[in-house]
Amino acid sequence: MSTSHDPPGIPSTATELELLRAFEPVVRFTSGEQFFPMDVERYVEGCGLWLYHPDDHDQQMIAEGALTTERLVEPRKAAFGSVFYLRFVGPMGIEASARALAALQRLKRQQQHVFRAGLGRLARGGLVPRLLDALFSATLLLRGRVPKATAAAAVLEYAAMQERDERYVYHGRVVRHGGWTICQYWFFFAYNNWRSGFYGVNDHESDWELASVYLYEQGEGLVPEWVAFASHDFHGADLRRRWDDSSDLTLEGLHPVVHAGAGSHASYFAPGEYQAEVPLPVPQRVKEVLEVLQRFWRRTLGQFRSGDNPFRVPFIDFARGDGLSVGPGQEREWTPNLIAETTRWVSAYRGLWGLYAQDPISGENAPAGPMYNRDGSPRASWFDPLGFAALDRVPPPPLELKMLEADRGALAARQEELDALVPRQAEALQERATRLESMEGNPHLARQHERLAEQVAKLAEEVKALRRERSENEAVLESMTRRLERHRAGRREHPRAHIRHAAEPVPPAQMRFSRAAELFAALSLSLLLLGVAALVIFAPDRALAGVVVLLIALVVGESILRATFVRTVNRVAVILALVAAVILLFHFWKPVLLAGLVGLAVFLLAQRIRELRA
Amino acid sequence: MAALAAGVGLYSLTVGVLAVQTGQDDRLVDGIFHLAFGLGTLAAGVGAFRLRSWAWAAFMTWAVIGLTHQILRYLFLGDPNYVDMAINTFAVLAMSPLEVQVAFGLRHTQNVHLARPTRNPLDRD
Repeated sequence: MSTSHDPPGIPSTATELELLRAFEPVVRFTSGEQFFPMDVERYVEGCGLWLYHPDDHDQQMIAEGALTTERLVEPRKAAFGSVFYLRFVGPMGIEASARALAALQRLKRQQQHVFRAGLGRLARGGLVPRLLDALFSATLLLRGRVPKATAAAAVLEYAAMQERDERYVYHGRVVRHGGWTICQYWFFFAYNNWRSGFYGVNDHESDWELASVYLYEQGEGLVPEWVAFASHDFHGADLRRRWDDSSDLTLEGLHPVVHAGAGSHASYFAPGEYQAEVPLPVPQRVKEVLEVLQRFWRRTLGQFRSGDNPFRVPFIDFARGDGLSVGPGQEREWTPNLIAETTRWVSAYRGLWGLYAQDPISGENAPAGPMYNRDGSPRASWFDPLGFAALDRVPPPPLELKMLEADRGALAARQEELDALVPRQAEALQERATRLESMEGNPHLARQHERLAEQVAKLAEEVKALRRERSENEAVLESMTRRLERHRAGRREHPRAHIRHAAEPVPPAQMRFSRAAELFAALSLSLLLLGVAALVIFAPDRALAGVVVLLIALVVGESILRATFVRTVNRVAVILALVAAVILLFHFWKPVLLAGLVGLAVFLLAQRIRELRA
Repeated sequence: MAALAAGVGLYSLTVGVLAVQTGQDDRLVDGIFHLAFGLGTLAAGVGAFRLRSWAWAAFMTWAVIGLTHQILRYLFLGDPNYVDMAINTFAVLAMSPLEVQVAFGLRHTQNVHLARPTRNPLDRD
C-alpha cells in the first residue's frame, strides 16, 4: 500500500502539442541499433507503391521517388485478396545484393555503436528447442522471407537519409475516453532487422511501436497515472505501470523511459535481455493428443509438470539501453508530429507500410499503419486505447471515489431491504410447510398437496437465494467500506497489484551458464548429426540403436551441465519404463492378467475378513 | 527399493567373492566387476533406505542404462532379459512419482498439488 503525495501534472488548458511534449518518452536503444524513429513523409518519398494480385504477381503502381503521402492516399480499386504495399528497398539482383552487404560491413566498421550478442540464446534452451530452432529457420525458406541484402540496403538507405537530415520523430496523438486523457506516441521505424541483425525471429520493412501515457483531471491540472508500452508476448493490464511504480518504471522528470529491443523495437520498462518465445504452429489434433499425454503424465504417473510448452523456440530480445538515447535532455531530441484520424495517411491508406513477403504466418510481412491491422481491420490500440491496456474498467482516481460511494450506498440500501425481507419470507415458508404437513394422509387433498409442495419448494429456493445474497452483500459491503476508508485516508493499492505476468529481463545468474554448457550448446546439434553420419558409415546395421544411445547420452550429458540432471533423468527413465511396460504386457499379458486377478482376489478377501472380525 | 538393492548387492558380492577365490585369470575381471557393482548397489540400498537424494539419482541412472540396453536388445537382437527389464520398470515406476521425489528431498513440497475433490456436503454448495 502506498500513500499519495502531490502528483505531478500540467494545466488542463494545455494544447495537444504541449501535452505531448510534457510527457514525451525517453527511448534508450541498444548499442548497435541501426534504425531510429523517423517521420513517415521521408520514408514514403523513398518508397515505391506496389500491388500484390491474387493470381500471385506483383505490380508496381508508383515508382520510387514519385510517391508522396498525398499520392499514397488516392483511392484505388483492387480485387479481393489483393494487397497494397510499400517497398523501401526495391528488387535487387545478385550484384546489387553483394554491393549492399559489402557496404554494410564498411558502415558498421565506421559506426561507434557496436552490438555484441554475448551469450547466444541457444545456451538458454535444451536440445529439443535447438532442434526446433533449426526447423524454424528451415521453414523460412518455404514461408517467404525478407532477404538479408534487403536489410543491408535498408540500413544504408536509412543512414543516408539521416546523414542528409538527422531527425528523430514521433507521431503523437491525444484522445479523451472515459474520463482519461491519453497521449499516444507512435514510433515509426524504416525497418525491423531483429533476425538479420540480432539473432531474433523476424525481419520486415517498416515497424510501428507505441507508448502511451494516461492522465486524469484533478482541479485545474492533468495528472499522469499510467504508462503503457507495446511489449512482445504481453497484453492488457500487464502492459501498463503506474506512475509511482519506481520498481519498474524509470522517469526522467515527467518523461517515462522506454528501453527498445534491438532490431525488434519492442518496448520494455527495465533494461536487460528478455526471453521471447515463439510458439510453433502445431495442428489442433496434435495439441489434443499432447494434452491427453500430459494428463496421463501428471495424474496417472504422478509426475511433475512444469507447464513449459515444448513446441516453442526461445529468442532473446536485447533491450540493454546502452546505445543512443533519444528524448528531452538526451543525446538527441524529438521532433513531434501530430496525428489524428483526420490525418489522411493514417486513415486513408490501409495497405502495408513495407514489403509483402507472402509469409503466411505474417512474421516477415510489413505491418499496416497505426490505425489498421495487416488485413485492413481497425487496430485495437488505436480505436480503444483504454481497452488496449485493460484500463476500460478502471475509472480515474477522483471518479473512483464517487463511484465507490454511490455503489456502497445502493448496496447498503439493498441490505436493509433484505434485512426485512428475509425473516418475512422465512416465516411464510414455515407457514406453508406446516400447512403442507397437515395435508398428509388425506387422499382427497392429493392435487392441492402437489401444488402446495411445488410452491414450498420454490419458496425454499427463494429464501435460500435471499439469505445467500444477504451474506454475500455483507462481505462485499465490508470490503467496499475498507477500500473507501483507505481512499479517504489517501492510501492506494500497491502499484503492481494489477500485474499478472510482468515482462522481466532474464536474471544474469540464469543467463551466465558455465562455459562448458555454452560450448556444448553450440556444438551438440552438429555433434549429433556427425555421430549419425559416422554410424551410418561405420555401423549401418546398428545405426538406429546408435542414434538412440547418442540422443540419450547427449540429453543426459547436457542436463548435467545445465544443472537439470534430476528432472531429465526422471523423464527419460519414465519414458523408457513405459516402453518396457508395453513390451512386457505384449509378451506376458496372460501371466500379468492372472497375477492381477489373484492379487485382486487376495486383497478383497483380506478386506472382507477384516470387516468380519471387526 | 532399498531391500531390492540390498538383495542384488549381496548376490553380486557373493558372485564376485566366489569368482575371485577361484584364482583363475579369466574370471578375475568378472569377479572384480561383481564386487564393485555389489558394493555400489549395497551403498545405494543403504542410501535409499535413508532417503538420500544421491541414491535416487544412482537408481534412476542405473535404470536408464538398464532399460536402454534391454529395449535395444529387444528391438534389434530379439533376446532381451525380461526379468531385468521388469525389475527396472518396477524400480522407475516406484521411484519417479512426485511424492517419492519430495521424500528424497529432490523437490519442494509446494510443487505437490494436494487439493482433492470433496464429497463432503459441508464443503459443497
